Amino acid sequence: MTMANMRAFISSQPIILVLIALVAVFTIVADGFADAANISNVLRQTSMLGIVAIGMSIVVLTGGIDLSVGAVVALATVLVAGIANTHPPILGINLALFAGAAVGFINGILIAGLHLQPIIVTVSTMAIVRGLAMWLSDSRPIFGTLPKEFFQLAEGLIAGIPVPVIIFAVLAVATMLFLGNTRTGRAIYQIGGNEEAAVLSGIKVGATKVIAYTLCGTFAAVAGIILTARMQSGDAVRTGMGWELDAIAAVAVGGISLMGGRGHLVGAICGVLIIGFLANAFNLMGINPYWQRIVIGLVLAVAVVAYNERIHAFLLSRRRAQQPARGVPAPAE
Amino acid sequence: MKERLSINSNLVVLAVLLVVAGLASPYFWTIENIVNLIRVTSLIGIIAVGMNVVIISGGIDLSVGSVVALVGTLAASLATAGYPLGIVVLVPIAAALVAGLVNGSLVALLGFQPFVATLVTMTVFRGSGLVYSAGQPIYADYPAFIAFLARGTFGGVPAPAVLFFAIVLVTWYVMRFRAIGRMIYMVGANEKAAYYGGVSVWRVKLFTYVYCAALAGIAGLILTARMGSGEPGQAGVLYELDAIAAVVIGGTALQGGRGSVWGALVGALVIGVMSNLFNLLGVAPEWQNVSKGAVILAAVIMAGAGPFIGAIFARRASNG
Repeated sequence: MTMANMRAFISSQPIILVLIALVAVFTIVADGFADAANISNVLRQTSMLGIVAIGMSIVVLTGGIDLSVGAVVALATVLVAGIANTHPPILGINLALFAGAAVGFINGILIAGLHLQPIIVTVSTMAIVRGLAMWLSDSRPIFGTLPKEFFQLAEGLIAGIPVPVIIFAVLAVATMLFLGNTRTGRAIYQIGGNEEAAVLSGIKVGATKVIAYTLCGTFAAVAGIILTARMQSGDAVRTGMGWELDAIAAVAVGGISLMGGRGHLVGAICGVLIIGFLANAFNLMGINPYWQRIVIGLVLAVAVVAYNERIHAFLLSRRRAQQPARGVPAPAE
Repeated sequence: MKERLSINSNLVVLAVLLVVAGLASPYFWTIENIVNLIRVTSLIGIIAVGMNVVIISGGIDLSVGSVVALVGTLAASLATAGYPLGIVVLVPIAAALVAGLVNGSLVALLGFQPFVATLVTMTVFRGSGLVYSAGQPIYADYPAFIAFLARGTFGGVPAPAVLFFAIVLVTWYVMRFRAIGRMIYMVGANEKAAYYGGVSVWRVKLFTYVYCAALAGIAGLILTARMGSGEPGQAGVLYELDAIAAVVIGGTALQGGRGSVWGALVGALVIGVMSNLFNLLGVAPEWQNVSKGAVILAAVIMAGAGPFIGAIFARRASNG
C-alpha cells in the first residue's frame, strides 16, 4: 500500500482517527492506561466481542442483522463446560462450533429461503437458543472439570501476545481477505448494495446469505469457547447478554452501513476497540459505571456522525458558504 | 387485499393459541384470568401501538424499554418527594416526549439510521435513569389516581385495558383519517416520492418518534404504578423486542408503508396469551423462551404464507 493509498484509506475510515485521538487522550488523563499490561488486558477482554463483531459485520454487509449471537455465545459456554465433565474438551469445542454454525445456517435458511425479516427471525432464534442453553444447564453455572491446558485459550501468551488477541487478529485478517478477494465475499457486498441487481446478475443470493449467517453463528461460538476458558465455567443465563447490541454498535460506529453493501471491516474492529478502551479508561479513572453508559452512548453518536454524508455535506456547504445551509436536508439517495 | 389476508393469518395464530390455552389449562377461560390477561397485554400493547406507527413510517425504536424505566424512576422519585399529582404525571410524560424528540431529531434531522440512533439513546436513556437514582430502585406510595391506572376497573374492565383500547381507537383514527396518518404511510412506502409530493418528511418522522415515546411513557406510568416502585435498571428490559415482535406478528412489514393498528392489537394479544399461559402452567423459563421464539417464528411464517396462499387462490379463480 503506497502512502497516498494509505491516506485515502484513512480518510475513508475516520473512525481510525477517532480511535487514535481517544487513545492519546486516555494516555494523558487515565493513569496506567498506556501500561503494556493494561493494554494487553483490554485487548484480551475485547477480542471476544471483536470476534462476534466480525461475524456481525459479514451479516450486516449483506443488509441483514443477527440478534442471536449473544445466545449462541451462551450455548457455546454451556456445551464446552458441560461436556468437559465426561469427555475430552475438544469434543465440546467441536460441538459448540457445530452448534453455532447450525444456528447460523437455520437463520440463513429462514431469512433467505422463506424471505423472512432478519430482525424477527434472529429475535426468535435468540429466544430459542438461550432457552435451549438454559435447559441443558438447568439455568445454573457449570463449573466443569476443564483441564488446565484449555485455560491457555484465554490466558496463554504467544510471543508476548495474548492467545485470544491472536485468534481475533487471524480471524479478522482471514475475513478481510475473504470479503475482498473471493467471489462469495464480493457477492456479500453486492447483495447488500442492491439485492435485485445481484439476483439479476446471476449471484446466488440465497446461498451467499446462508454462508454469511453460518459464518456469523460460527464466530459467535468461537467467542463463546474463549469466554468459557476465561471464566473457567459455562453459564446460560449471564453470558453473552446484550452482546448482539454491543456488536451491532461496534459495526455501525465503524461505518458499516446497516442497510448493507458499504463499509470496511477495519471500521468495525476500531469500533470494538473504542468500546473496550472507553470502558477500561473509565474504570481506571473511577467514573461511576452509570455515567459510563451515557458517555459511551454519546461517543457512539459522535462516531456515527463522523461517517454521516449528510452532515459532511452540511458542514462543507457552511464552510464554502456557496449556498445558504438548509437545516433540513433532502432524504438520502 | 394483501393486508387483509395477512391480518387474517395472524387472527388464525391467535385463535389457535386461545384454543390450545383453553385445552391446556382449565383456568384459562375464567373471568379472573381473562381480566388479568387483558391487564398484562395492555402494557405491551400500548408500547406496540407506538412502535407500530414508527415502523409504518419505515423506522424502528429500540429505546422504548429505557423510556419505560426512565419514566417510572422519575414518577416514583417525584411522588416520594411529595409533589402534587399533576407534576408526578406530567413531568415524566414530558421527559418521554423529550426522549422522543431526541430520537426523532437524530433520525429525521441528522440522518442517523433509526436502528443505530435508538440503540444509542437506549443506552443513554437507561443510563440517565440510573445516574438520577444512583442505580437504586425508588419505592413510592402513589396517589390514588396513579394507583387506579394500574389496579382500577371501569365496571369490571381493568383501567389499563380501557386506556389501551382508547389509544388503539385514537391511533386508528389518526392513521386512517388524519393527514398526518396518511403521510406516515406515504413516508414509509416511498420516502422520496413523499418528499417530492410535498410531504415534510422530517416532521412526519419526528412525529412518529414522539408519539411512540409518549405511549412508552404512559406504559411506564402504568408499570411503575403496578410495581409501586421505579426501577431504573430492571423495568422495561427487552420490552422493545416484545413490542417489535407484537408488531410483526400483527402483519406490519418492517420495511414500512404497510400495517394497521389492529394488527398490533392482535400481536400484543398473542404475546400476552403466551406469557399468561406460561404462568398458568408453571412453564420453566427455559421453555418459555423456546416456545416464545417458536410462536413468533410460526406467526411470521404464516404471515409470509398469507399472500402466497392468496396468490394460489387468485390463480385458481382466474383459471376457473
